[in-house]
Amino acid sequence: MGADPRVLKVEAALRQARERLAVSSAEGSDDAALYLPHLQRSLKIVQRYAAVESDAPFVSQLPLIAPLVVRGKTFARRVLRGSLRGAFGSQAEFNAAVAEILFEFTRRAAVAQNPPPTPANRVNSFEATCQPDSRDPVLGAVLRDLMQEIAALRESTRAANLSAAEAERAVAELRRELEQLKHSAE
Amino acid sequence: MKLAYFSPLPPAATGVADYSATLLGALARQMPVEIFSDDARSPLSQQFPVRPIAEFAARAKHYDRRLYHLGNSAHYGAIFDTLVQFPGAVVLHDGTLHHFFVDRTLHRGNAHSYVREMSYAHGGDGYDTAQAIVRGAFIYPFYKFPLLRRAVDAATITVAHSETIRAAVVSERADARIARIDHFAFPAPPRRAARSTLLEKFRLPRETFIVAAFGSIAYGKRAEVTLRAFAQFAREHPSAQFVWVGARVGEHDLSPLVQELGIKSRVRFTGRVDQATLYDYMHLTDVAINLRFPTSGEASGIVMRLLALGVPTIVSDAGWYAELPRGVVARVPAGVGEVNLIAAYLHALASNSSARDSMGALAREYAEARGVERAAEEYVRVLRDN
Repeated sequence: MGADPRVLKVEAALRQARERLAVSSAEGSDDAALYLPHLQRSLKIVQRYAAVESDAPFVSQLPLIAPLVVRGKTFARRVLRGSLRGAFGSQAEFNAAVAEILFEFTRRAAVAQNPPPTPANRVNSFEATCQPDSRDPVLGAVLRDLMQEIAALRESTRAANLSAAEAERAVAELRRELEQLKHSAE
Repeated sequence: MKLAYFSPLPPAATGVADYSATLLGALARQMPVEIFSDDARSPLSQQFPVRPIAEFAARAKHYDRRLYHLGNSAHYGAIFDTLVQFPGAVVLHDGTLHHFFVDRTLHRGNAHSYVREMSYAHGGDGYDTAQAIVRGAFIYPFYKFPLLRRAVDAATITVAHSETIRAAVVSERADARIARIDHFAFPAPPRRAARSTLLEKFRLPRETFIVAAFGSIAYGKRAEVTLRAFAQFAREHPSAQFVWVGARVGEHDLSPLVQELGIKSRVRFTGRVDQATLYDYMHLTDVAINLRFPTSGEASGIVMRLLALGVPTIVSDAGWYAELPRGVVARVPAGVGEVNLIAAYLHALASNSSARDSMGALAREYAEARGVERAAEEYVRVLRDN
């Protein structure tokens, strides 16, 4: 028995949409840059959040605390924790959201280094990049490593009472990974 | 065979309450049912005997079977406690109960119970992780440690709506008794008025293409992704409008994003609405978007309503949504390319009414095969055998 023609019609429409999108992506629309400001802003907040959670020196939290009229360090920290949770959800949720942005950004950057080489396989390449693991084994391995790095960063943010400097270091390592990836692609 | 039925009831703000309100009518036609719920103000108390859950212990011997609905929120505390004391069939609506346990232990200052539950469900790993969380040195592992074991152990049989939840239960206890009963489709009410009348009522333009999302705006619903995709689509479709029908949860404020995307005049948030208004908006919808990631395999009552009405729907390619058959919905993987792909699908569906009609017809057929009467029969069979 053949497939339902209505299913084929729907699938054909969706496939055409993917093809159209693949061509426009290959023509150079790179929206990775859209994520960068969000990522930078989010990292800054993560660092501040980590500083609060790990009771880092009080002075480093002044930019956040200044608007709050409170008395005493302990009370200020309590209010700050409450306001951060109110603004960004629990730390777990917030970290997960940031890790997701970081994850998307790093993968997008990796994908940008490996554009589909010919019009004929653009669609296949696009579909491959939509999957959690690329069909390219080398890129796939790199992406898996990066995913693990990010997962570890997310888990350890709280586990290790990550300080702002440590968060910076972890991000710098990820950036170095990306640079290496860029060079190897070139 | 007399049934004691435990569930939140409307107007409780949980999909399980609406699920029970519909299922109970069909179930009561097949067996005598008494409801135990702490939502005593429910309109259902006009149709069924509704007793407080605390009264069950004294009346337990009057019932032949017990059916407990469990979900991952604060609504289920008393139901869970009764289940542990009086085992019965459990309908597991979520693949993790971690949020539920955090709410009833840590959030109430009871660290000891949290550590005990983590140890019971996940052994040494659970104990170590719980200790680290109590010290403030670890984030909540909501999905890694789902804390299902005690509910599964207390259940004479576990009912799952999705393969994802079935697999989660098996990984807790390989020998657990499990039944798969698909989430039923809510009976689709006819449109109350002509499209033009409804458009006028909601002050929407007469010639318009309506993209809509339904349900609460909460973490995991990917509201930002949805709005970005609509903004991209709307650039090419000047008549398109977006409506989000559902309550905002917590401080999830999307107005800065709407402002940034420049779509303020084309986006509307209705807040929580009554059932009739919800269906009015669904009847007006040309394409719906219902994303969910991360997910623990929970089924969506909203999506089942949309499918019953034949509304073409774009969903996430994850959990229960990924189990929906080809052609019935358009699935989009979360992550890279998600926004672009949703916008491309919106464009494809907006410009191809034939594909939209086919999708709507397939959705209606899928829903018709999952009527509430059939679900009730399956529940009766499961309850009779267990």
